[in-house]
Amino acid sequence: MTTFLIIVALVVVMGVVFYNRLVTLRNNVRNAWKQIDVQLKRRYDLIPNLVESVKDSMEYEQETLRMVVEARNRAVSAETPAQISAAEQMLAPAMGKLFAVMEAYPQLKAQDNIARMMEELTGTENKIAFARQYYNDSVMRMNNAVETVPTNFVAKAFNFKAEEYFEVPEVEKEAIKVNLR
Amino acid sequence: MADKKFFRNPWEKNNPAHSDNVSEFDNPWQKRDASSMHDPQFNALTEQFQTRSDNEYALPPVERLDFFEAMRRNQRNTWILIAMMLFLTASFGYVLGWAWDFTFGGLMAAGMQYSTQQHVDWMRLILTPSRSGFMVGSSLFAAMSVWTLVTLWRADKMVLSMTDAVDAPASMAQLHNVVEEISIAAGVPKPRVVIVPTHVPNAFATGLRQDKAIIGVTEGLLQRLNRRELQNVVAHEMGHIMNGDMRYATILAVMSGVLVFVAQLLLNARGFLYMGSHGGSRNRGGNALLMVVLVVVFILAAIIVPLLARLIQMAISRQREYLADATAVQLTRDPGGMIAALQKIADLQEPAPQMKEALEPLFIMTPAKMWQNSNRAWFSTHPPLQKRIERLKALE
Repeated sequence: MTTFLIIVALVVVMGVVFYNRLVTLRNNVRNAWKQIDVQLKRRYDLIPNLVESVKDSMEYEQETLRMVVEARNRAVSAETPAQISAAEQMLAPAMGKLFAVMEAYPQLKAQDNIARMMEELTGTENKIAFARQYYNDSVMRMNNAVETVPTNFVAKAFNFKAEEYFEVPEVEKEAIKVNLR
Repeated sequence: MADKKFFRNPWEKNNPAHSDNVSEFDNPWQKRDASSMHDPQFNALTEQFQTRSDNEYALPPVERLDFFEAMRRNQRNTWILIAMMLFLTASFGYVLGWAWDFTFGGLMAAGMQYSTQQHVDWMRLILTPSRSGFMVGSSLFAAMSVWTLVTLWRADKMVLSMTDAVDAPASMAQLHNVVEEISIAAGVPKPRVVIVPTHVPNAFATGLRQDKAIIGVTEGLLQRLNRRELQNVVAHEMGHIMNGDMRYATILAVMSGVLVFVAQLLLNARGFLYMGSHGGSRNRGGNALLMVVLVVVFILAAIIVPLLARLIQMAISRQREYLADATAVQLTRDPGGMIAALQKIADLQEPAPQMKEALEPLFIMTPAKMWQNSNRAWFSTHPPLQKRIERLKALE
């Protein structure tokens, strides 16, 4: 009788431990997802500054600058995930073209504030990438817990689900090409 | 297209011209596979993020070593090590006290009662509980615990004052950005950043808790390394912080020091044994044999144990370095950059004779000693450069 009670007590304790671990992991995943948004917002705030600074010097590249601003505005106002990814797909090539074009303007390279802004943009892009990486790592840990044997019983009992990885959808390459022409 | 860009273009695609010149490599998104040619006009989001680590970025491969589990294990190992070392010290203290009892407390005389002329009853002799033994053992235990705690508390200030480190000003945007990026990837709060004013490239991490951590880089490092390599060096140091290596190294050093101290005491204690042997008048024959054996055992213990403690300390330190390298790769997903950074730093090392050896594990590369030969490999805090690069290549 006592051994039975001991076993039951052990099972209950382990159940509590596993439940707490699952809750912690799920909260990590949610926090990591929000962190990505924080970094994205930073990037959207930096782009208008850059455009303002280079506008006067790059008089022949107005089209490129206009595209960058438009892409950025679309990204900021996007709501559904589909809109967000469409806006991102427009923004990245536009920024790439802008960077490539800036190489041709030597007076820009000498300006200190432009260099600092480029460093900020690089840093922000890196932070977005690392935030997404950390989100994926958190999702991996959560999925490990939900799917491996001891914890998956508790997960099923309390309805913990495996989370989705951050993946980038496939891109319509024709559409991008049209945008840049 | 110019080879070296002034502006680091994060949206620039893989340019084959950059692929074999690792040190020119500033663009964090131009990564390893130089074979794939991309049209710069086609900067789709998929390609932009896939170049960082191909599919590993979106979907981690299943057969990878679980670094998170390894880190949890490390933290557990720290406590196990502390327990083992405390027990070892207490035992040594007990032996010392027993020796005292043996010569002055009449323990030998009491033990001799159970012996005949030819045969010495070892077991009885050794197993007779010695009150002085317990006293000395427990006081050493207490002393070592206190000393460990105090050292841990003061270790930060020690490292900072020893290296003349100053806080990095906010104007050093690249350094602060890199540290912030890596702390995002690690999921820890951003540590304090300090700069050491020397031209030798090196980096260290210190701090006993993750939220009180400090990362230091030398001015030489900032001058020589590009952004990608700096990222990897900072990731290595962040790995040390995440694995609690500072705490580990300090505890190891303190305990090693106490063991050496006790061994010295033992060596000196054998003088007492000689005195005791002249004092005891009964049973001269068995007495002399006993004394000789005891003295030999004490001397062996006093010499071998500190040596063993040191070897273990160094071996553990090297394992921690490998783990920090692996953690760095886990954070940046970029082994090539880590290899390039290590090679650059190793090439430019200079002797640093004022470096305290106990603090060496905190740095990314051993400050070079005046004489370097392979016999020192057993006593080196860091693994050889070639081995580190081999292991990193295996992760690619």
